[in-house]
Amino acid sequence: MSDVQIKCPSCGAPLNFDAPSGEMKCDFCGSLFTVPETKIPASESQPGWTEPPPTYLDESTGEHLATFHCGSCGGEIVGNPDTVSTKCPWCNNNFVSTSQLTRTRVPDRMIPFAMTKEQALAAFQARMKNLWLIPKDFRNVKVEDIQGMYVPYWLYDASVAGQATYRGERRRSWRSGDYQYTEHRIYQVERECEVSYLDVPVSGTSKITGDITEAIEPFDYSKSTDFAPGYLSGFVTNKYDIDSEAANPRALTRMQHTTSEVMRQSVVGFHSVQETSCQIQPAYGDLEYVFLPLWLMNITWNGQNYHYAMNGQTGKFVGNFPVSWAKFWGGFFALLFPLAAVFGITIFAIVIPQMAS
Amino acid sequence: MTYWNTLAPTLTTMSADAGEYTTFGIVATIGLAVLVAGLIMGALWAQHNTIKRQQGARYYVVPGSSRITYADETLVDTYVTSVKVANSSSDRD
Repeated sequence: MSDVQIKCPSCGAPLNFDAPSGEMKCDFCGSLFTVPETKIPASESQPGWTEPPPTYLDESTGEHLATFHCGSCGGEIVGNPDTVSTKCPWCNNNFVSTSQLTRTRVPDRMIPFAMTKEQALAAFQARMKNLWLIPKDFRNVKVEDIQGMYVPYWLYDASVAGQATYRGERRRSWRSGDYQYTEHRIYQVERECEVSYLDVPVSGTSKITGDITEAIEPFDYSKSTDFAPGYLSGFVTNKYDIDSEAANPRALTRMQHTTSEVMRQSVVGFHSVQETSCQIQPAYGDLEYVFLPLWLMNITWNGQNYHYAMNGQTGKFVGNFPVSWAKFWGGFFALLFPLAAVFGITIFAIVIPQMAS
Repeated sequence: MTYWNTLAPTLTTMSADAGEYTTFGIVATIGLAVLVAGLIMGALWAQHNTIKRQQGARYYVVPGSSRITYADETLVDTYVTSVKVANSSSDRD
């Protein structure tokens, strides 16, 4: 069996066989192709991002790293060989080094940590202070599981050409006799645009949800540097388990969204606008494999896991804090009665007398 | 007697109107208070979860690279609709 990935001739995303139509379908742009159409001669190059040939740690530096396998959740992380045990950042179980890596792919570049563990903890406490609905017990929770991680990302460059059509409506109203007339003028609006993107990141790991790895964006890539094993000291990283082919539809989706916004924002002067079609054609640029720094915290409280993350470069903190129902309903009713008094006085003293007259 | 015959329907109508207005006032007061209190508490709740996916890639647009290369607007249809406007004097009849 060949595992060659057939790509969409229109947009470059992977094509899959669509059983109902009996054709090859692009899940990204929706194009359909007959199976013979998608046969790619061996000599023909396929459209796609340009990825530099990967280099491996032992080949470039002669150094090895240790890999840790979590027996509980299956997570795999990479760290210094002198680390003998650590906690799984995904499920919080202890596990020990089981083997030495001999072929660890070196990232094309990385951003070193600029934020310390203490700053991450301070950010957690500061965030918690501003939340009114947090349970009292949770404020006293101790963060014991905090880990600095280099998360593998893929960075995509592309110049995107977009075409979109809209249905725009301009209205003009006037009154004649007992009738209000409205003239509706319907336009077909067309827009084309070009937008260039640099370093659109997509996480290369399935161990951290895409929500977290995207929520901590953006990173400042101008401060990125070449990989050096020394940067990993005191931190862990995990190998990518989502390859660049599998990750690129997400990059395209994000580019399409922004390209669509650019075109939509140029459609002005209408009372209503409805998008009827939108397509993008990316011209692929470079693709890079990078390590980006992230502080990851797990807290188990009342039988539930809460995840927090901080951008290890900029300090942007994200997380999901529990809500106290007692505080929520207490706050709701504490607001309800004064609001009802204010609205009641306004309605009965001003609105109703005007309606009655 | 003639005076009472004239006044009674008017008072009955006023009483019915007052009842309607009171009901409207109570419902509107409670509805607005619940809505605003719910919106405020919802906003406070939303602050508890800041883990959200990015919608697009706006951080990564190369400065100056975004440009509209073609723009066109074609009139494809025109129609007129009309609505009878309620006469304010006839509303009270």
